[in-house]
Amino acid sequence: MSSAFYKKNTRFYLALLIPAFCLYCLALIGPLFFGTVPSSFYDWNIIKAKRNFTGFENFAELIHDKQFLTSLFFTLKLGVVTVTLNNIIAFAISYFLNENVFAKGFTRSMFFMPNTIGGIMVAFIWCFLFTNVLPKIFSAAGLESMASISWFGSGSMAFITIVAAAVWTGSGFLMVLYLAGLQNISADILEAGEIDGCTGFKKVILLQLPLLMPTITINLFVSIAGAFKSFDIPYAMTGGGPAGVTNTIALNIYKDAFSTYNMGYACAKSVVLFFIVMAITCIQLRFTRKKEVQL
Amino acid sequence: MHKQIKMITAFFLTAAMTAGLAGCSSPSSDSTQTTQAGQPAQTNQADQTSQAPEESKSTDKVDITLAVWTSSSAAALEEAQNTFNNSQDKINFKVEIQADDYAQYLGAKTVANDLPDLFYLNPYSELKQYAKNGYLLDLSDQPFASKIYDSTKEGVSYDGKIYGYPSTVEYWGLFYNIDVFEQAGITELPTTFSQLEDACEKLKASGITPFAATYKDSWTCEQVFCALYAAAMQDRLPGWIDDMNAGNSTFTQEGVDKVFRFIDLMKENSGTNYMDSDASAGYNSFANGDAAMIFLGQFALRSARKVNQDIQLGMLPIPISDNPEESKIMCNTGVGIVVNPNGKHVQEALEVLEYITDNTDGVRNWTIIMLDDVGGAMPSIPVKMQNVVNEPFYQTASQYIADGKTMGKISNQLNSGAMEIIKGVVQGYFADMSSQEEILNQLDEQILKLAE
Repeated sequence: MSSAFYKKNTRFYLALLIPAFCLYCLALIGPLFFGTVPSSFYDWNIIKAKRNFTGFENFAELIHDKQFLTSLFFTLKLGVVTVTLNNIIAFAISYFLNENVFAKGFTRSMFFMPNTIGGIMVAFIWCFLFTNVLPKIFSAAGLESMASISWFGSGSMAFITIVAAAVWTGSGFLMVLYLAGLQNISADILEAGEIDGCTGFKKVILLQLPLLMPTITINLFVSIAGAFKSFDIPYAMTGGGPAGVTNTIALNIYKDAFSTYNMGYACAKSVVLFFIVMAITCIQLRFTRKKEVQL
Repeated sequence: MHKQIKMITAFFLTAAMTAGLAGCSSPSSDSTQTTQAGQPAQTNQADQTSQAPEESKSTDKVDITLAVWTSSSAAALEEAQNTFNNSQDKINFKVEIQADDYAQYLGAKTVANDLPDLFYLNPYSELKQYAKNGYLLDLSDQPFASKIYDSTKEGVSYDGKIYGYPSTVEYWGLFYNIDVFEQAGITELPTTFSQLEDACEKLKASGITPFAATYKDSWTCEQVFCALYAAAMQDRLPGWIDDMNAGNSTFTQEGVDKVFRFIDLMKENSGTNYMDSDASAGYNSFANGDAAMIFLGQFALRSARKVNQDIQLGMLPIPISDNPEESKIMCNTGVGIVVNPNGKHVQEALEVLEYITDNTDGVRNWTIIMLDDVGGAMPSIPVKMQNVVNEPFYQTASQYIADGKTMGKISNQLNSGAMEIIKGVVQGYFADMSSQEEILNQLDEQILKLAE
């Protein structure tokens, strides 16, 4: 698209955004800035029906809240691991699917299918695998030490179960985007590179990855935000257990708001989460955008 | 310029990503209403009339709604509702089962000043909180108030007045499979802790897991802990609860070792990988005879009987020490049915409540429809049950309740929020993540904060 053409029609393009933007304001920006943010300055328990303005007290309390810090650390850990694994696995799958593999369409949809299953169902499937299927397979294979692993009995094992489910369901979507990105790379460039001796692993690192940067930007953005909001899989797999060590921030906020009814405090946590995610994504966008190559 | 647009886009995209979460608290956008929630009376009437005008016009009936939380007794609720509707033509009684999180539903209704005519509430701290804020009608003069057992009054009273009808009394103990006990050669039922240890040995020798593990669900750990803690405290319990709620006591009390000794016994006798087993897995292994006992409330028996129609169910009071006199069962008023004083048809709501609390002999009333089955709780008024009375576990429980050998459930009597804390903390002991001392310290630290 030439930039002159783009400039001429800028207004039209912006006008196209208006309906979506209005809906977005109504459903998201409104509640966020007129509900969540103001409420975070109140000591507000929904069943006590009292709302006392306490200024930044909720935020001050957060710093000393062990559960919140545990869940923040857990979410960061989960984020780093799932974002990395999701993207590496998704790229690897899409790389091989981009080559001429057998039954390409079928294989592609098989890898994408987990993404169409709801988080709660995914959690049930993996719970079943970890508690019923894996121990039986291991003991049939004579690996008693593996069969007796308690997958939900310790924080580190429970973490692995959540990561497995999250990666299984999350990588399919990223794979589709990577695949689209790979197919968009002009065959001429790759051919020219190959003639110059850039083949195999070198081709991936020096040609395909740099040209994929726009896709990587989007994929990292989607997966980072997703990881920070992760709720359904940990909720249904471990319920935050054992002893609350697998609580994500979202789960922690939910419990505060609807189990102990501490709505004001929960809103303060949401606001903090909002700023954390914003900071991380802004840094990530700046970083990856810089690496994008203009052809 | 271009950079700025990018930054702004980034900001809004991030907002989109996180606002899904923030949206959870969207009822807060009605904040103006909330601030006036102390006086819910005025705004409510208009809402109530607009709710069902068409139906009431066409049939000349008054709509009365009872909101209840999800339970496995949907069929019973429907029967109970229809029985009332067929008996008169003035009121159209509707039971609304809340499929979603009930606490969330009630919170939103409270904030919006739109509570139903009649609704379920958790007795003790939650009910007291609602009563204190003027959301509940004083029911002290209602006919049921003189019929309910004294032991159930505490959970539904505030400031000396009765604000709810305690429709169920749930009870907890060690439920066991009678056939499996016989198979393992346990002829004398354990009434002390050492006898229970012996029974566990006998069961293990016969290849049976003594306890059905449910500990992946943290609420089961919480219920076991509450029952054991109450058993260890015996008569000191009520005074301790008052002190804790005032913020002047600690979980480290004389006899608390017995609680952890009992949990240790459960851990040693719950099979391998017991932390991977949730409540439904536990119900199944108990029903199939893989495990001999399950330490939970009577509700667990409904699932067990569903899986295995022939299972013979007995009940043991909790053998906390070597003194059989200290073995008791835990009881808790499970549901408080309350009336919204600002509903449009309070008089009609009270008529429905009268039907709910009816205990006339020979009538298939609300209580019999709802509770007369395996897994049903005890009633709080004298009602002649027909089916469940023949079950051995029910006979044991009734006997203990009649003898007053019961204890309360601490998580419902401590300040609101205690249950969630106990769930999270105590599971750590089952999972070998924290020591006894750490558990007690964590409980103190978090629960005393609720007193502030």
